Amino acid sequence: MQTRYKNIYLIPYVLWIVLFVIAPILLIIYYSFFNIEGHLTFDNYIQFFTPVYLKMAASSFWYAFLIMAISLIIAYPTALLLTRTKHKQLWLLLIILPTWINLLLKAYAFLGIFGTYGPANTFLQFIGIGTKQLLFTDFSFLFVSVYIFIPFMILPIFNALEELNPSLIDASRDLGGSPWTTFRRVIFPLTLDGVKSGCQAVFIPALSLFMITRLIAGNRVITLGTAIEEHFLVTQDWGMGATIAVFLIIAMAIIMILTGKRRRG
Amino acid sequence: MTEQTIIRFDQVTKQYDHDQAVLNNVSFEIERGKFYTLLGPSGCGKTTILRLIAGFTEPSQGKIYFNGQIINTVPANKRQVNTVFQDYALFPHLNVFENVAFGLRIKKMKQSQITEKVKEALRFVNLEGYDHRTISEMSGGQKQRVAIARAIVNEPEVILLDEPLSALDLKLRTEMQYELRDLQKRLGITFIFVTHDQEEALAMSDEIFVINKGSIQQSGSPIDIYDEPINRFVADFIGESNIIPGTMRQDFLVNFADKDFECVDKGFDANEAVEVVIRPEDLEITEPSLGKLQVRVDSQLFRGVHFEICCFDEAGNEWLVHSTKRAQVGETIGLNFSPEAIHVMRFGETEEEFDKRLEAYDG
Amino acid sequence: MKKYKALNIYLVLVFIILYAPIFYLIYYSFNSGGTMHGYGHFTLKWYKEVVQDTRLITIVLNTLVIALLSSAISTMLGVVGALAIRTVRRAPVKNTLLTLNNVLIVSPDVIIGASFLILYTIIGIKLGFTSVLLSHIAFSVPIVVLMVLPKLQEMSPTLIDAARDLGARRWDVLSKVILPFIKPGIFAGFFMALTYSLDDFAVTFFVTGNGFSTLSVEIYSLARQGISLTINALSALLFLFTVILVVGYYFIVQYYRKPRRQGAGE
Repeated sequence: MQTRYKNIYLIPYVLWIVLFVIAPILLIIYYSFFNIEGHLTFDNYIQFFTPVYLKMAASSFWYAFLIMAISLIIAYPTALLLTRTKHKQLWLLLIILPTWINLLLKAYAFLGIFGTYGPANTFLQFIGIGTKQLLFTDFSFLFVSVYIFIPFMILPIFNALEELNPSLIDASRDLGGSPWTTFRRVIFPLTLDGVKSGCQAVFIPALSLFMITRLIAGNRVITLGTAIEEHFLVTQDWGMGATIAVFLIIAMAIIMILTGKRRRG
Repeated sequence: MTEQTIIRFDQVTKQYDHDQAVLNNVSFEIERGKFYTLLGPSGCGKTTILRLIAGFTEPSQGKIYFNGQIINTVPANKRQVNTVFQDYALFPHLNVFENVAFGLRIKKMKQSQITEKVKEALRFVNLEGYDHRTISEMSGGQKQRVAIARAIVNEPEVILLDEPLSALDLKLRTEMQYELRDLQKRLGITFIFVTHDQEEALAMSDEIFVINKGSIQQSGSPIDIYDEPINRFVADFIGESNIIPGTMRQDFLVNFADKDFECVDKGFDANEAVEVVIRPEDLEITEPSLGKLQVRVDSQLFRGVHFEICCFDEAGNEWLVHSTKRAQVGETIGLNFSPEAIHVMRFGETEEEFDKRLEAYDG
Repeated sequence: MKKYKALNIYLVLVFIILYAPIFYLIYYSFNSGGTMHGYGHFTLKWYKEVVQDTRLITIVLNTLVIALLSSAISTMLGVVGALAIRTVRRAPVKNTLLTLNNVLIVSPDVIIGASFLILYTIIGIKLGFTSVLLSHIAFSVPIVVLMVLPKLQEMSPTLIDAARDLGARRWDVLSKVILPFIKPGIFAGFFMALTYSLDDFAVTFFVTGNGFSTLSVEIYSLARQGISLTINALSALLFLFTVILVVGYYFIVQYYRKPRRQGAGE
């Protein structure tokens, strides 16, 4: 019928893909085989498997996991309650709104809040614990990270809950399920896809955070992201930076496959 | 309340926020082991009645009794009632077996017992061997059966069916009507069936509640309701009817279309204005001179089992006739009908007043 | 119902924590004392400083120009991309395109930034305005594609057949049928691209050279030096700007959203 019809739209789009998707990945891989003097070598990979880097990778994964888990624990009930409010679209918008405020500003706000004379310490004093060093600790790093990522966890869970057919909940109650049983056996399993995309949306960026680690954790926490930034912009050892990036990409791919959506009829 | 009564509504009103009442002061009784149908147009309140019985919503006023106990605030999961939902509401993450077993697992029944009961329930709805299918692999009719099996496996005293046939095609729907009726007889438990399809209601029920605008218009057996509708709404909603204004001359004599006719209705005031119902299939086409009424044929449609003929009499009333005989558009024909075919309705009469009138006269 | 009220306290708490830092910043932007504790008296001094700082104003303008240009160009590219994906018939090709499209969305900013840095160095593009603009276009394209594609798929193919049947040429079909139909998706894509560009820090941080800076990068370097209430004043202004943008976006989406069926009272 129209077999000779050409898809001219493909030309600019594929050009974009080649230039900004495929080429950068290949370049990262290519650079990971060069050391700082520009010689072709496997040194970077050998170095990555030394305890220093492995420990850093492990702690990076551990922090990302903590951030993801805490976000999930806070976000799920929030999303569930949101679906039960009136004007839920408006409330949802209010959840999303802070994500549109520049990330840097929110991180900066916590410099004041967690500062020695900030409101957090005033509160601690008020309840009798007394002033604590809050900035540049694991606690402040986790708190700020969770704060920043939580809307990205709420959103997919909220959407999954909204898609849930309400008569399934009626059906579970009808068959004798208490509210808790209904949650455990119907609501949660059926919103698992939302939970997975939420975890994906939090875990991957959390692995590569570098701005918050610098500002809030004061270099106490070194993530894969911080290391990459350091190698590219400070020590100029692009090869090592690229090697870490390769591992980050591999980790990312594995997570994507693990949390990939299975199609349901 | 008799021994047989299982559910009783006592002046139940349901209102959402400050909107108009969805149900207005409704009272009725449901007996054990019968097939009931709640029939009415969408938005009439029939589904609300079902949700009140199931426990998904609480009445604003009035009392709901189940086996003689008030259950107004008993949550859905603590009621001896199971529902077959309009969209089936089968759990997509569980297979057929687990869907049916859902209620039993909550009761913490032993695995061997669960297996036995689920198999039996599936056999009951002719779905043997489908245990491990996923829900998405099932056709509409099969999903329907899974939903029924999931309800009956819990051995409830009452099964609620919320327009369960509306998503099926015509042929399957008719088949399922037979099956449901048969199933109810075999199980011997109460079925409460909600529908807006009058044919479905007439075909399946022991008793029909016709509902409109939040109250019950009429209740009774399908034949009672079809033959003796108490008001225009019921006459119009169930089957097709000719509703003609008339005057009751005296007992057994009614005037309409400027003529007096013999009838079987009684208990009206002399010369009371009434409405007269004659079903289209009760009108017989004859020669003009032999007919009780002479009408001119306006239009005609072939409906398969019969011709649907639209006529007008000299007084300007429209008459719908179902006949196996063909007529010619424009010709004048005679219409014949027996006195029993005439049904006279009093304006604004409630079901209670209707019953009282008949009783007073017969007694 | 009473149970829900107790639960709503949780929701309110989440909202308070979500908004507290933002209002905390704004509150101290009016503080005459130079710190984010110990309130002096109300002052607009910091706002005056923001407005008088020509360097800062230049950076704000840079940021806006980059955001508007990159979202306009990426919207065009994204629409073309969505049309391309839709036109592809063979499923494996389509899936490959979709996967490649999503790579930049799920990639961490650090990797995007680092790889673009390598790319520009190899090609020989000087770090500065051009490199930042190209990067912003690059990471906004897939977002636009994802916003436009569902709208395109929603469109019934018979709509195009009907237009053809009535004598429309290919260009007519595109300009008179397809584009008007997917307009809500295009708007949504443009706004998303705009916010991504305004919000981006990490990618820009990698590919911006000396002498060129966007707001995010500037705030980062200011914040690393410690607290300065000029940043507070700036953030209050940005917050206002964002709220206006979001409200505008919300109304556009509401306007285009198909009328929803109201839940029946039954």
